[in-house]
Amino acid sequence: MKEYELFIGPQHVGITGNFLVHLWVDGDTVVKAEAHPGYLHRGFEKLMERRTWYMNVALIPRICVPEPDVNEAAYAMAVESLMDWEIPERAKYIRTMVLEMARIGAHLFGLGGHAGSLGLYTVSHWTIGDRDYILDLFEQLTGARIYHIYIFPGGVRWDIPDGFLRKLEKVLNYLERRLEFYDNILFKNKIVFERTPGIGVIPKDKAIEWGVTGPNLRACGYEYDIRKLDPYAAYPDLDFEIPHYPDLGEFDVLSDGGDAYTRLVIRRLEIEQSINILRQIIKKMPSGDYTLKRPNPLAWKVPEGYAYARVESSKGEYGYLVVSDGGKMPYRVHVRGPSYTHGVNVIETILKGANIADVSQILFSLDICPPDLER
Amino acid sequence: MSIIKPFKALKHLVLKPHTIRYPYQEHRDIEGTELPTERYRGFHSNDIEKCIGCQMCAKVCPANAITYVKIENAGKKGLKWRPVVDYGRCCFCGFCTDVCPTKSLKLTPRYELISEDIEHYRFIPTVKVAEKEDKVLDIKEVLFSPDEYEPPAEE
Amino acid sequence: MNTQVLLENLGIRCERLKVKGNTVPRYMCHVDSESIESIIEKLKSAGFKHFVALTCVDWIKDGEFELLYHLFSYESREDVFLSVRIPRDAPIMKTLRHLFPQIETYEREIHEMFGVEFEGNDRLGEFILEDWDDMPPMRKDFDTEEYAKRKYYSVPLVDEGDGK
Repeated sequence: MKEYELFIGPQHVGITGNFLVHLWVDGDTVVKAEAHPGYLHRGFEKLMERRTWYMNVALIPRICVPEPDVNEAAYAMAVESLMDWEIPERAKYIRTMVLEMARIGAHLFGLGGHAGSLGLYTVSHWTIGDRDYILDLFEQLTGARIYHIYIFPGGVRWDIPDGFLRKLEKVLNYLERRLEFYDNILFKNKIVFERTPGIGVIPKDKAIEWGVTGPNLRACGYEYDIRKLDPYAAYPDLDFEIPHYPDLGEFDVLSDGGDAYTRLVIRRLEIEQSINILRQIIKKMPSGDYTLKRPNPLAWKVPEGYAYARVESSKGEYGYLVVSDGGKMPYRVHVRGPSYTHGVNVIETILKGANIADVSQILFSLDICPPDLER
Repeated sequence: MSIIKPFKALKHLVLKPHTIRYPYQEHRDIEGTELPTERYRGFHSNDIEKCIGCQMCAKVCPANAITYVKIENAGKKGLKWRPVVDYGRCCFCGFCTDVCPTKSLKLTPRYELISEDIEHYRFIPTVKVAEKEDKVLDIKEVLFSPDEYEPPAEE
Repeated sequence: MNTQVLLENLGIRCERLKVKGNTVPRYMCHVDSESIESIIEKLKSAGFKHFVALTCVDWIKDGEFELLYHLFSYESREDVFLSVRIPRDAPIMKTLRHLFPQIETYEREIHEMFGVEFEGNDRLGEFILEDWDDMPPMRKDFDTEEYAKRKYYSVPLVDEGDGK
């Protein structure tokens, strides 16, 4: 028996970013898979040791392109833990709003990518187009479309501009109307329910041990979400549900969970929940300060100690472990990217026995983000 | 499954497209406000008279994009150093404007600059950038040479 | 509170870390490299089923590497950090990848970035860095500037052609 070797990536339409999956195939079946990250290593953790606490805020959003705000929020929360700061109520709500907008953007990106890997390119064109409305809002709120540099330790950088919440409401109404289009083209599409169920299954009993988090874990049948488990920002005040298998709402349960189809549906349902959360935020937005008084950025020292802050990103648990030695710069920052576990170990396991044609679909359904894998 | 259902897709032929033909069509948000708004972080503008040459912006710059040049006739207040921004390095984070004690350094919603010479992307920002009506910058309009500069006459 | 009792029963002294933003308590425990395996096994059977991360901190002044094993319990909602100090001049540690499979990936990265040897992990080798020819880069005594100068300043500039 002879095996062929096949490389998917780093330049390939079927890969989520610059990332390489080395496959050994027998006929159409994958016998062995190895993940090779390293094409996006920019040494963030080392760079952060050489920059002040203030300068790092401009650096960290660059770790994750589709959803940069989680980095800012987690870093800010870790620094606040060390500084012992309690941020104003309004800042908490603005943060939650930014994080939920980013989640919708990232999920639209993810849905489009997954649909693209199935050959349904219309969906990816639509989702990218609709994500642009969220980017427009970000541009008005934060001054930049992708790397916002908006959530600072102590609060947020600027207050909400006039009429922003009204525009947000309009965008939410628009997106809600658009969800119906996605349902028609994606979830009533024969290609999706023929090709996705039962593909790339993460077994329920292994999922936690393998370190899978986020929508991928919820697709396996656990109702675990950092927003509820380890609440941060304004989430304790908000009322929302956590979509999880087998509770898929109006969508049919077509498999035993943990597969590409369930993950796709979970992402779709999370967009709905995020819209619901944002509506509550628009109603509840408190008045007051949007930030604490920040110290002089050039002489800002953070007390000695360890702090860990975690945030639920669109991909899973995003954590920052910050170690300070009392100086002007962090002593060590470790970024726990959600893709770290499912991007290397899990895909090496679950790609075994998969069909070549399904490989890119599995990678997209897990929503692997190589930049947070290798930082 | 009905036979007519697929033909419903035909209505998409008459929908407005997502894409805009950029230089000819303006980029607007959902309410029709023209983008980018004032908060957008684009090229710097610096009021040479107001700037006191404290060099705070150079110290806080995470990308090390700001260096200094001495301008002899730069107004009477403060030091004579004025910032030079290297747009090959600048990441448009805006920290320089946050720390600026006189708020003379600002970021403007201008972000287009076309030039064949790489040296043109390293210039001394002046208020000319912010005052421009039209969005596209021409390098001749923003280029500032310190030797030819004369401060406005005192009253 | 249970976890604090559990850790005390295991004979581990622990301190609580400051938490703002998040709400769940985090315990920092200092253990030695011999007992770490049995402690993680006990914690795992006590509900700490989610292995969050393995981190290394280079304490160059003390001449030690600190390995931080971070566990989370979905049931009792608590975080435990197990800190193991190993000597910097002979950084050897037992692999724990049989306990949680993703530890393998973390060990590969720490081997590459800090040069810690994990006995029993056969996949240590090239992971993120390619053709690396210097000391592990995340160590505190690695001089990034000197390395960049030595490695890249010798590369001749690309001929710009007849552009002007």
